[in-house]
Amino acid sequence: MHTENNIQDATLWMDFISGSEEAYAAIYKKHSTQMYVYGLSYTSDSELVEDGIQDVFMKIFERRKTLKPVHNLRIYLFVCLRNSINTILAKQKIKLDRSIDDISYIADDVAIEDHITHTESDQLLQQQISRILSLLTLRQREVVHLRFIESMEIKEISLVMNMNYQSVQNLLQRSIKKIKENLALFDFPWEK
Amino acid sequence: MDVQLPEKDYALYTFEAFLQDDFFLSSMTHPDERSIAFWNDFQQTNPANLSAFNAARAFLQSYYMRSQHNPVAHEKLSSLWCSILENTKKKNEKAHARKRLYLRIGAVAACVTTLLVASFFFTSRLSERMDDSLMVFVQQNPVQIDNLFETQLTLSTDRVVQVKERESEIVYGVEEIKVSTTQESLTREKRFAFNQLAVPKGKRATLTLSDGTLLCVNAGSVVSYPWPFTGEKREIYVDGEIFIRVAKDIDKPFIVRTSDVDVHVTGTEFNVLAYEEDREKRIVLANGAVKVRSRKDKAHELVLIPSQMYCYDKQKGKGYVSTVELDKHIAWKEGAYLFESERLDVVMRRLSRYYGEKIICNTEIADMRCSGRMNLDENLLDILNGLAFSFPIHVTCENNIYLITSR
Repeated sequence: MHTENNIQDATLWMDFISGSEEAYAAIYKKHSTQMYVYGLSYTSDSELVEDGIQDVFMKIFERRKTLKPVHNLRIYLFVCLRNSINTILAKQKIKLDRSIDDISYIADDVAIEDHITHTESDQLLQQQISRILSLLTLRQREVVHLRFIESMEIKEISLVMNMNYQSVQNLLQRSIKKIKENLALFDFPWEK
Repeated sequence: MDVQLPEKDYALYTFEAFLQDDFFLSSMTHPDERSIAFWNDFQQTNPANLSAFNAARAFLQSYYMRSQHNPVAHEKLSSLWCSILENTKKKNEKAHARKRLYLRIGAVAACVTTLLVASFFFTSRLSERMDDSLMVFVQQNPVQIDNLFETQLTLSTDRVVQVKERESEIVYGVEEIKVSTTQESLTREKRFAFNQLAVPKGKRATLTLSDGTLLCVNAGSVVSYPWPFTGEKREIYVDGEIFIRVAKDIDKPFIVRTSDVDVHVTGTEFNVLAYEEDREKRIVLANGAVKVRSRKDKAHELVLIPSQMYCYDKQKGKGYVSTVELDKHIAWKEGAYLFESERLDVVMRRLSRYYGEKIICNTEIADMRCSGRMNLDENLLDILNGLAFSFPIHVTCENNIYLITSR
């Protein structure tokens, strides 16, 4: 299933760099939501993520004639997004203040949950998840998102986050450890 | 991913260990029969680390679920796409202009190379025309579709052409119009005029406009449009249902207007379901991108991406966007009618229009929901009897009027 998806993406990408506008739109349709969610995993500024996505898509369109086939389209797009966001931030000379972001991260989640109709227990669980995540650093949140939500392998994560294999492993281990420590803090259904 | 089930002893795993195990992770976020069975069996054995397993699973599944629901994102990303297309078009235009400048400066006879100019949205600078001549024409020329027996093409007040075929084909050229198989050619008068194609119930037509835009026009529909397209935009008015493939022309945006909703587009395929008498109007996008705007509330604008439907409820004065199965909404142009959980009276109304027969549906069964697929090549009575076979309805026919009652 993983490989089937890759083949689909590879074809889409080939069509796109050959000039197909339908492929361009299809790529957006297929990957933009995940890009958006990924961006939000380590920054709470949704406008920043939107700008990043716009930047990525405009750039790939501009340069499509010079682009080469990619092995994994999603990883490629994630890397592009990451770079775009960092570039935008560098231009704005804003440093990510971790503590502030953590607070606003929680607030954002609550707002989003209003739109979802879940059972009460589900909602409660999700609030707890948000709180647990808010105690992680940005890099920890990012690695956890890529591993658990995007189901990426360590190798793939190291490409996206521009870290070596071992560093990613360590980061992931630390993140999971921190999650476990915080489960008890937030009354997560956990009996030791 | 893993065809073989793992040999590991999961009963020894800690919370952290579970979250670092590939099989565990993929089982929780992308379960299949095998993995579900495996973990069920695991739980049955009542392992010592059951609480760690439960916690790891609860965490992972809640976390995953939380990331799946993002309705806010959907809208934002649709608008973002609109913005991306606009901006890439602007860049294209700049590049285009620069090239032209070089040619002039160069003063060298260059061969004309066809530039791959992509077609996109026109910009949102929508100039509100003071003289809305198309709407004036539509209002002054209402068509009583029920009184028509033949498909009718109106070229001007004194030139009306009747077309006999059940499925007719009308093609507009630069100076003339070809009508169906009769090879009849109509020449254009020098004056600009509004034309109107009226397709009565029980008939269909395909219409190709002078710019190459292709329309499939469904039964009981009236399409009004100017000939030729002058001015800075191409506009048509639809009362009925069409499937339209708009010819690309980035300089002249195309607008499909209906009684409640306007659709702005360039180079795109979509379905417009907008019979004036119906309460619901539906725009379904097959390819490209369109911007949909409510006539009542001009500020209310939505962008659609392929496989999305904009549905406007006249009574509520509200519209909403949802993702749909394309096939269901455009199958009619290939002669099939697909419907899912549709009200019986709506189904009957569509059949009535398509076949040109009067069908009356009893109020007590009007809101019964049904799903099905019909081949519109079949006889109406056969179709109705087929429905009676699956649903608790009774079909009778008297004086050419079909009556549907509850069984």
